[in-house]
Amino acid sequence: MNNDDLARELERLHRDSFGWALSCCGWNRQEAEDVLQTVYLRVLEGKAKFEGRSSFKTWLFAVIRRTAMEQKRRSFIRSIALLRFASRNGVRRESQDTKEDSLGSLLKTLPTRQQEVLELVFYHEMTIEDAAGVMGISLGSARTHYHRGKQKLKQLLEMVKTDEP
Amino acid sequence: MNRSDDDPEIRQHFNAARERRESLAPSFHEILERPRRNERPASFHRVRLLVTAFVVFAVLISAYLVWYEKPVPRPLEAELSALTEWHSPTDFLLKTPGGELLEGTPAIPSALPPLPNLQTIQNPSGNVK
Repeated sequence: MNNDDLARELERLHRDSFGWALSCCGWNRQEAEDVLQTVYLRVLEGKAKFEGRSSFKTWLFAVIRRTAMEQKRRSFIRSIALLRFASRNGVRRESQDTKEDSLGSLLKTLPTRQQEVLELVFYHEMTIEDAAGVMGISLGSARTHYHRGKQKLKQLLEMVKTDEP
Repeated sequence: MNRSDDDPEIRQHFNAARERRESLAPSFHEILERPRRNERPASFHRVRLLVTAFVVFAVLISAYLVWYEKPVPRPLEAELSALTEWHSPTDFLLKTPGGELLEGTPAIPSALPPLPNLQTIQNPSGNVK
């Protein structure tokens, strides 16, 4: 794939990629945009190479997920340093989180792996096998997380329905 | 096989979430052209260079002090006299009572001391003792 083809594919999948990045970054829009920019530049500069072992979308989503995790680790270290500075200087940090919808708040109560597999299968319309590829886990594990997550989400949706007047 | 077909209710919720998220998405070119937040400023590289230079300098100075500033050796005669004149600081613990007698030969005085008067004792046979 040459650079033009890569750019075209990235643009075609951009909306989906943004949704996935937002999910990986806990609905923090600023972080999601940073992650997406980093991923796009890595792909276009050849630092992340698509080798054709899976579909382009599966590969791209795996790169977005890994980059989001790296970003989280760096932000954690930075936030500890900032908290120390802020506590010494009385500075308040502004939240950059986007307001998530009701489904997002229900998904957040599930374990991370169950959240991810449900997002990938229902939101991004991937197969469980592709979701396992994105998450870097076995197909069996992905299936288990999918079934358990789906059960829990159904129960939560039922509870929300009964709570509504 | 797409498993989302078997749960229309969940799928409906996700479709609604998709519409909302897609409305938030910036364009592809906006993402590529935005200024990079994670880039380190030029001052970071200058500070890193200064710190590296300082560390290298400190290592070189330490190496010089350890390897090239050797102590001046004492002459051999001075070493030997120091060894012969040395006394153990705990020598006093080895002194025993009367040990002075072993340090030399005792002197015999020139005049004997006056002996006590001896009384003659006569035995029954008439001999004097």
